[in-house]
Amino acid sequence: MGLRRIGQWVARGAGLGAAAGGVVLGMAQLHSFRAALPVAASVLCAGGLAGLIAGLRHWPSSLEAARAVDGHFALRDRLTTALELKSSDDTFAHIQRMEAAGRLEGLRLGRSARNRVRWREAIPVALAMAGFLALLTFAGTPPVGSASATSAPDAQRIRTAATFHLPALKRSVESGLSRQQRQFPAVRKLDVALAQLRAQLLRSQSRSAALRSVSLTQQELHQLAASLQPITPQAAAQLNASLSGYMEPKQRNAHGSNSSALATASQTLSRLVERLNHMTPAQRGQLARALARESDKTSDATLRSALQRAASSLATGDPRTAVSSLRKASAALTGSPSAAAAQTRLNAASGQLDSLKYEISGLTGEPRPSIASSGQAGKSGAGGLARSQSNLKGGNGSSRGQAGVRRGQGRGNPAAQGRGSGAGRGSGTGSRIAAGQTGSGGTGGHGTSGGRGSSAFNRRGRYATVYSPSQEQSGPRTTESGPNGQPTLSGIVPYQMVIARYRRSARAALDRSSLTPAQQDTVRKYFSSIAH
Amino acid sequence: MMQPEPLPSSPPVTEEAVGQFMQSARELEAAVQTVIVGQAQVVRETIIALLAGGHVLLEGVPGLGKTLLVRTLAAALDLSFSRIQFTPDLMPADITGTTVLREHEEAGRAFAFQAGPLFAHLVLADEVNRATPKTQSALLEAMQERTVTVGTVTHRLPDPFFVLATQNPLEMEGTYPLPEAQLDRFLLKVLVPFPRPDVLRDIALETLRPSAPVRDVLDGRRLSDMVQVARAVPIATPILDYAIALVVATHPAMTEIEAVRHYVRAGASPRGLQALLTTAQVRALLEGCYNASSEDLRALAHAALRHRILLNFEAQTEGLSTDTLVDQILAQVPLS
Repeated sequence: MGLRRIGQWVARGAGLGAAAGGVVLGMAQLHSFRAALPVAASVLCAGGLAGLIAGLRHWPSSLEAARAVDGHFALRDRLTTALELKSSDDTFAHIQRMEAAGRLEGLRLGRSARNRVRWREAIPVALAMAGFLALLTFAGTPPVGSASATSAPDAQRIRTAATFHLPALKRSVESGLSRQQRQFPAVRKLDVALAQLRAQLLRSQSRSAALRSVSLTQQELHQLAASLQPITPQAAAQLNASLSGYMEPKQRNAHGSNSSALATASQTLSRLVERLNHMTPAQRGQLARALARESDKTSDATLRSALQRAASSLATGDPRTAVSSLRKASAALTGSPSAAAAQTRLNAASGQLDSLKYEISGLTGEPRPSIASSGQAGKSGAGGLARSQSNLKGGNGSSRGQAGVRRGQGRGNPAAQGRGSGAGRGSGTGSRIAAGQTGSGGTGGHGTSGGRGSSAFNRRGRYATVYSPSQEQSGPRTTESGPNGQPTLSGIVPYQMVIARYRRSARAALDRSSLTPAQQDTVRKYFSSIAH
Repeated sequence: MMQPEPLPSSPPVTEEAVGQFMQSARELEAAVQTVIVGQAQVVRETIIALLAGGHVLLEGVPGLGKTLLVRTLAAALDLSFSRIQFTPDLMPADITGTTVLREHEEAGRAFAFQAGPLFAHLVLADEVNRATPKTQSALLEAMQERTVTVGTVTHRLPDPFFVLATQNPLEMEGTYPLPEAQLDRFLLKVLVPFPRPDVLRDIALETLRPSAPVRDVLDGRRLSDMVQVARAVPIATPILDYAIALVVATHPAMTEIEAVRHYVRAGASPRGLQALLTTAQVRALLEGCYNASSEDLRALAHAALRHRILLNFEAQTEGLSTDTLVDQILAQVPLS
């Protein structure tokens, strides 16, 4: 009975503690209170402890126990009376005690403690506990924006962005990826980066901190995307064509489609490795020069580096290094589709994080790119022509890649009631002279969506020319040559490296600046447009 | 003047006396129930009132056996019995007795007290509400003080002295409802209900059979002893507190029970508490228990309190009975 009494008091105390803790948690959802969770837990524990103390203080007296036994076993108050008359010498008292003792024989007095649950008490306690657990579950993650500087709407927006929009973004970005592509390191790094961003958002102390986290993640994704340099099918096809002369006719691969060009080129390099031991020194020299030429033609750093190293090794009579380099080049070609997919997703994710910034900023009325309708990569334009399409209804844009990067705004479609959108970006790399040879036309750019369209009917796009110092279209150029005629790249800074540096600086400046999200978006788009 | 001989003081309660109480009470109950069929609770409550030393008011429509019950009790108790039929022209002297002039050969003429029918151990006051208040007041003094005052002389009534009054709740025309003060003198007010059909069958069969004489079970001395034994039955403090709480709950100014506050004009008197406790003691022994319990209190609450609660006009217009209020009190007063 005593234990039951203690249990009742502990339940009461815990119920009160849960109610108070629930109030604390509830208030923490409305106002900033960083220590809400520990305080609520402490209040709950304190309630339970207070109940325990109260239960000990209300330990049932012998009279209460007697009353309970009388009530439970329907003893007609025999035990109560006997207890009261225990010191009486009266005849009746004696008879009564004897009779009560006889009645008690064989009874299991402990059963008298098993009273029914008092629903009038149990229901409020259960409700309080359930409410506390519900609030605890709802606020199980650390309170967002709980710093005193963060307002409740900001915190709510950050929580919503972290809880709903970010997972949606992740699903959107990674949709359509094969299992192999999902296992690609860059995609896994994308997962990790988004997960870290979610955690950072949930821990954010302010809106600016949340925005900074998003910006840093964008920067990270940009860097990751920039580090991926997938080999284009055209480059692979050209490599295959150049090296096919060093293969026997029966081993020559004919590639039909762009998708198989990479695999074909990879096989060509693999077979070239097999034939390397049977080549004469003269053939090796010719192969070295051919590799040097191809390395100069390709824009892919990995392939270029591998080819250059192979050419250099063959030229210096180091076939082992040459074999290793060629295998590395072959591997780069094999993994290039996954890298391309990863790069596309990384860029898409980075772009969609802009929308997240709008969500966090609360600027839902501002024009912004939609998470669910991100633009897809445009087709490669022949001779530098790029065309982009937007998923948004009615918007399209086109640009013509010439010297440098062009940025265009699409034409509005009247059917979309003036809300056309689409940004066409095209970039073209011109030919250049390497080692006295003239190169062919560069690859076309690609387009992404996200721009604003004009609402004027049939209005033509406007273009802005952006100067890109490292992307020269034509003209004389001085390059250094190695001892065997292979080119060296000392003194040449790759465009991607420069633009990545610029972009980092710009993003860092944006994070520190007080520009509006729309203005920040403009700057960000500019750097995104010149990144390719 | 006739002075009854006082009974010797009762011996202290012994185990044997307690045992005899239980046996005699059961015999008395069984003896009465051989005649009074199907009214077990009425018989039980009436016997409880007798063994508690109190008077009983029996209320019921004519023909339910109220008078027969009292007569059977008198037969079983081997006590002097008198029956008074109360009528509007009944005078106090008619029941108490009066002083008459008597002539003695030696002393000549002298006034002497001629005892009335009240001077009996068991008095049946039939249709007590038909007498005038003046006569009812004479009965009141006898019931409470157990004495009768005629002129300047007070005469003591025999011991034990029990009044069992009956009244008819229907024919109220030309009656004088008993005043609250007099109602309070009755230890219990027992309602005699109309018997169930199966009981009616037993009554009919019993009527057709030749009636068997009721044997004496108790005499006056043993009855007084039993009253003393019952008074010694212990009552634990929580039970006493519960009885007090029940009585307090009948007072509109002292309770939170809404019905009582709304419909009751006056609650039960302390005598009601005494009635509850003393009758609970007797009932405990009749139930084979050596202590009064809350169950006894609850069983006797209606009989002990129903005539002590005075309803207001609103309750009367709504047809509310005191039994309904007692039910609510029992339901809402917690057992400590």
